[in-house]
Amino acid sequence: MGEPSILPSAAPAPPPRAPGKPRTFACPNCGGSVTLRAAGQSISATCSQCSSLIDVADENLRIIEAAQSAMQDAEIPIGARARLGDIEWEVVGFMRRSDGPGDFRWTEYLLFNPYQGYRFLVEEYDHWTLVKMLNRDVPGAGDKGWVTAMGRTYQFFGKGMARTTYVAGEFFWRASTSDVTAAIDYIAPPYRLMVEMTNEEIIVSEGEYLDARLVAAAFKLPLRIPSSFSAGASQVNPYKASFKVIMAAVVAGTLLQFVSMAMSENSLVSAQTYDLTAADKGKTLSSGPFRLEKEGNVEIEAISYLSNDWLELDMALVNMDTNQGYPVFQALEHYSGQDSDGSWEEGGYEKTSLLPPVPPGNYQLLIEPDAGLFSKAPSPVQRLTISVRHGVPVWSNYLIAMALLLVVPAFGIARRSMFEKSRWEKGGVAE
Amino acid sequence: MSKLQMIYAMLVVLGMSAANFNGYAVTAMFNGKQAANRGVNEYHK
Repeated sequence: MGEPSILPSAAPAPPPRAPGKPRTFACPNCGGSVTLRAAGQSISATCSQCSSLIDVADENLRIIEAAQSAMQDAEIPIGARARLGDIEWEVVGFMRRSDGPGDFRWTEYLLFNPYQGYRFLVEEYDHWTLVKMLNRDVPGAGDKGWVTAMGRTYQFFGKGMARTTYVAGEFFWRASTSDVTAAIDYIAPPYRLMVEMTNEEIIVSEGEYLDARLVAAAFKLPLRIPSSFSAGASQVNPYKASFKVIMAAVVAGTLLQFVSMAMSENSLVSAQTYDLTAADKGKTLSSGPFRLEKEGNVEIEAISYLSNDWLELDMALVNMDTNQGYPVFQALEHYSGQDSDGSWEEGGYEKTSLLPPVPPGNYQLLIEPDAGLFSKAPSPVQRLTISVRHGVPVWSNYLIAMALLLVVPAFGIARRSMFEKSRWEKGGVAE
Repeated sequence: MSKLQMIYAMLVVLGMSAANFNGYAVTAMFNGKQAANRGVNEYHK
């Protein structure tokens, strides 16, 4: 299980007001200039020179936290503006946050628009979510595997602690690096419901996943694009196991298979039986001549009921008009017996070989046999039947085609599962 | 993706049909190919 995911930490956002003028004052810690972009709304701000956190709602500009750790830069600088969802937003602050042990980290940018108020733009491992705080509670959050809110059913995703490790810019609450909250996440991609709890309050926010390319284009910044193997917590799974096209192809392929079967000639052009003895060793046997009226494939089937013996047939289908030969080799063997496990049997009595289409003409099948019986004394008689069929229907192409077609949905299902695995690795309960 | 799937599915079905109607089997593509111009007389030697 991974660590719980993002949660914007803040008191409920104040209602939007008409834009005020930016206010500038001197940092009570270092004397550096501090400019408030959301003057009249911001409660705390950091000095860009010494990174001290200042209570700007206090007349005396009380220092909440003197000089934090080393100054940090964010991927999106404070003051950057972007149009997201047809609203112009300005980045007024950002926070670095992490889970309890600090294994899972994310950044929350505070966006401000004087008419729309505040939003959070959350970045976690190159995935972005635009978050709005809601003025409502979600009954049952944290107790159930799912909750219903905003007309959507959210599935439980993660639970744990959220710590603020760094703040920069200005905020509508008294931000501090000592902020720790309990956080619960639910998802209904592309939406995400976040419940954050302290002893004093419960804050519920709803986020919507944003494509990193969209955020990069909006801010005109070269932001990192997440790899296709890394899923965002509330990212819609882009891999769909589509069966429509493939099912249509399977139906069409099956119909065509039956049509080709119905149209195939499948005629028996030769069937001959040979009684093999040791005297046939080194001889070439031949079938009677037969005529193939049109071009088509040829199937040669050999049947011999062998008993603990083997038989090899070196054959050639020969066009007697052109002397063109088509070699075929078949090996039959059949053994059986009894052992401590009971009776056993291996091999078979028949072999079939298919030759690709041959031109029309007069043909003969030549057979050069070799067999175990040739070295036995007294030599038994082994019956061999060889039949030749012309224009036989082919099933192997159909089976291969079906396998190739099923690769597509199988691949889709695998990609979809991998994406979900990547998503749920980021969730879970952290104790 | 669905366009690619369509093209792929079409190629597979058409390939299968072309092979079937002409009597070819993918699994027996190379059967009967090793030797050429061997006549009855040569076999009877």
